[in-house]
Amino acid sequence: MPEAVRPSNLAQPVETQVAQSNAGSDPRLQPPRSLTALVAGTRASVVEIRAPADHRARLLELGLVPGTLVELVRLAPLGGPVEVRVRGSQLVLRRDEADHIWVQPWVGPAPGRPEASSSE
Amino acid sequence: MKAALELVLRRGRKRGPTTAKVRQVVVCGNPNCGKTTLFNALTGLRAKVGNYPGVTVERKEGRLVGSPVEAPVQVLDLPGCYSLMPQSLDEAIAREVLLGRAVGVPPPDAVVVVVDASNLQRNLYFATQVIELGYPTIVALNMIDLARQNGLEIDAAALSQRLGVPVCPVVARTGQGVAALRQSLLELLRRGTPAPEPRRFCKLPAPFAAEVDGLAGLLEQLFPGSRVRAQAEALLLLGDERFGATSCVHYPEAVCQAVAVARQRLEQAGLDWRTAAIEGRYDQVAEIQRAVTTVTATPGETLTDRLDRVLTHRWWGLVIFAVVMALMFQGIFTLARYPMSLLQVLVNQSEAGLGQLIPPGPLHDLLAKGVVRGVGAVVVFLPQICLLFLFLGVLEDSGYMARAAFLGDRIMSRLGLSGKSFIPLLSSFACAIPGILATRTIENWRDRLVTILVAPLMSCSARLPVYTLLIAACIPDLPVLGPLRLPGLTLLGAYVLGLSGAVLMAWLLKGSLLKGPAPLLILELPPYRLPLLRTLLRHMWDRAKVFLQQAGTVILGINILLWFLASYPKNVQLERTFQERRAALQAQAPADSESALEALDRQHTAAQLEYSFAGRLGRLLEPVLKPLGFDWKIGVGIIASFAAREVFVSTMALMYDVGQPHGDRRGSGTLAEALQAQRRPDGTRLYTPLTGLTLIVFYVFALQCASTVAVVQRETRSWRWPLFQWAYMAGLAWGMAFVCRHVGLMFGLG
Repeated sequence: MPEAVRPSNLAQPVETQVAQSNAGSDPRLQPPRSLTALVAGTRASVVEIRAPADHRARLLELGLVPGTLVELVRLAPLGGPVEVRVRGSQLVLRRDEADHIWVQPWVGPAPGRPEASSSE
Repeated sequence: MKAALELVLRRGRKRGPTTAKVRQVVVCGNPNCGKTTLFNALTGLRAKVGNYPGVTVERKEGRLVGSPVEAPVQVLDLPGCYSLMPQSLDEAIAREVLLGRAVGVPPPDAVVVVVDASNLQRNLYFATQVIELGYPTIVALNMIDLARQNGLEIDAAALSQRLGVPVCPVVARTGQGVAALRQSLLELLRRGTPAPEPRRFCKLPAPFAAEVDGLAGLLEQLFPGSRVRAQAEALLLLGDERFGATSCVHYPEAVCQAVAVARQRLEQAGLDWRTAAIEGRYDQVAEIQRAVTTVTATPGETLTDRLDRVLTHRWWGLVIFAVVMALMFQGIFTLARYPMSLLQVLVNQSEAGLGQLIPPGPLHDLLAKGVVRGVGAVVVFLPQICLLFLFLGVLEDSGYMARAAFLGDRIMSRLGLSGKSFIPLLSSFACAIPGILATRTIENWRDRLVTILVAPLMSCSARLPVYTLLIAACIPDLPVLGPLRLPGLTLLGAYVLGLSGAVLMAWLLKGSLLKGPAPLLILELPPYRLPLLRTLLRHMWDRAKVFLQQAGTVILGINILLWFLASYPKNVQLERTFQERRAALQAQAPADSESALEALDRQHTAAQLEYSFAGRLGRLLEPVLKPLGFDWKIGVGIIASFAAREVFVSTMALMYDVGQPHGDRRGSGTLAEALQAQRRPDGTRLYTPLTGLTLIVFYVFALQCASTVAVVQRETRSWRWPLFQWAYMAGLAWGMAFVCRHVGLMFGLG
């Protein structure tokens, strides 16, 4: 697992940081995209939360801290909420709220399940 | 100045002299961690449900079972929180209580943090925040059975060492470990332990930690007697988005300034003060969790996962939900019928019994018609309400409710509401009262208010007798399409109209009066499990108790008022005439004296009604009702049916001198015939199809239910909202009836 990206350091834009950490990092990680753009069943690592301030704080407090392993379990019909597994619990978030969560999907099996451990 | 501040902020206030020193224990934790189950186990059946002053947040308190008499222990169950940085009113209240600042709530002597063992990291996030506050704390490690099922074994002793507080493994549902927890709690209170050395469960970057220390110093200076550790408080203040230049409540200016300056310095150093603490805490918490957990098995797909694949499926999920709802309503309808008729019989017997005990006269009238009949009409609902809450309890405790919210969220969010409004609105098809009571699960007060305001528009079962009567009296039985006939379609139309009205009003209200930022919707999908009968019954009884209390106060009051309006003033001449006729009839003693006497009584009541305040109000309302095609008699019916919609049917029966329908169709048929026979002064039919339709439309929208008004008043803790609700629904009813009539006239239906 590559060094966790730390956007709490505001000095550098996210893309640079990701590029830096990707340089010489795990080839199983794909470029970052929104959580809702994933296919159900994919596992990914959180990169950044691009939401308005207090939503962002709450999403982080639920455990979606950068570097966390998440699994997109399913998407509800008709553009409804999405179900996510993170740090051992199953959460449901609205589609437009989950859009703000930027992740790097893992290709093939990710190390560990998003249950017993969160980040390596 | 400082002294005044301290007084205002209630910090470190010395307790006044009391005979028995009541110790206060607070139970807190994430939502869905079993906190309330544990609270119930700790307090037995002695919990009292109230509200925090000024807000509609539920406050549950009870005495600890087994607490010594000379030093009783009071337990307070806080609303569930994910963090001490609040997102909702519920969380804000919980925080106020934990910081010792809540009005009317003494600061805690000890805190029990309930932690869900199968969800350890997120729960520890909150638990560590609470431990840092510095109160004597116990961690209740709940749901260890579930964790074990998931293949996770947690070492409570190791956890205790890492957290620095006692950890008691429990399974609140079965009661396992609760006795030990109670003992530890009493021990903790008895020892009056000096608070453990300050711990911080947060890996903070150095500049941030320095700022926290500085701020803590300031807080210590300003509030020397505080029960809460200054370090913890400083950390919370610094990281809380909502605390800042704009909203500096509870704290003096100096603190706000210091926080603003500290944040500026951090930003300059390139640190995000909003998130540094969160990430640092999760780092630590993840480490703790890894250290104390042993993975014994990696379960494959759990039963919950398998069930969810079907129950939240794109299409099957919705179908199954519809079936479950249909079964639920049908079940309530059928099962409640027998107890309801039984209760009705009891009420009738009481009324008759009163007749034996008390001689006829105003007192008898008041008790029989005002009290017994009035309150009885409400109490008869009890079986329906109990059953509804039983079913809702099953849905909630089994975990299915969260899936329903998940499925319904899309539709609800188009209206500006959330999936949590789905089931309360559906329940309102049976009766708005339990639907309104069920809105307690909606945390966002705006969403909750809109759901409450809109719930009565869902055509409840009480409207059915009114619809049935009017359709039988006014709508011709014409075929429309195949097996579909006009009467059936009209009934369906009434329901659809009500539903559309509700949707429209919800959308309007959410877009204007009650517009607000949409909070984050977070739902948890707890694992499926079998609900415990004990918990279900207890829950049902809690709600039933509230309902009965309600009936005994506000509803009683309103019914007595209505009885008064319908019975007074008495016309002496009228009374005398009827007395004479009665005497004459009894003297004659004809073969069918019983029914003749009944007929006389009905005429008497009808005449009395015409002369009464209610009758006069009906005549007074006539100008308002004329444009709708109604006359004063219908006006009286509408006024009388404010108590309950079904009263319209019995009032009409009185006005038109028809025998009371005893639940068989023949009765209502006779009334329908009587209505059909009514003629205006100029000879045209009074109850034309159009009149009937207009009246139906009126009843679809009007809030004709004193009980609903009373319940809304209780739930919103003010008269403003129920009155607004009644007014807007009355306006809607009048407007829609007006439109209906005039569109009908245009089409020549007249």
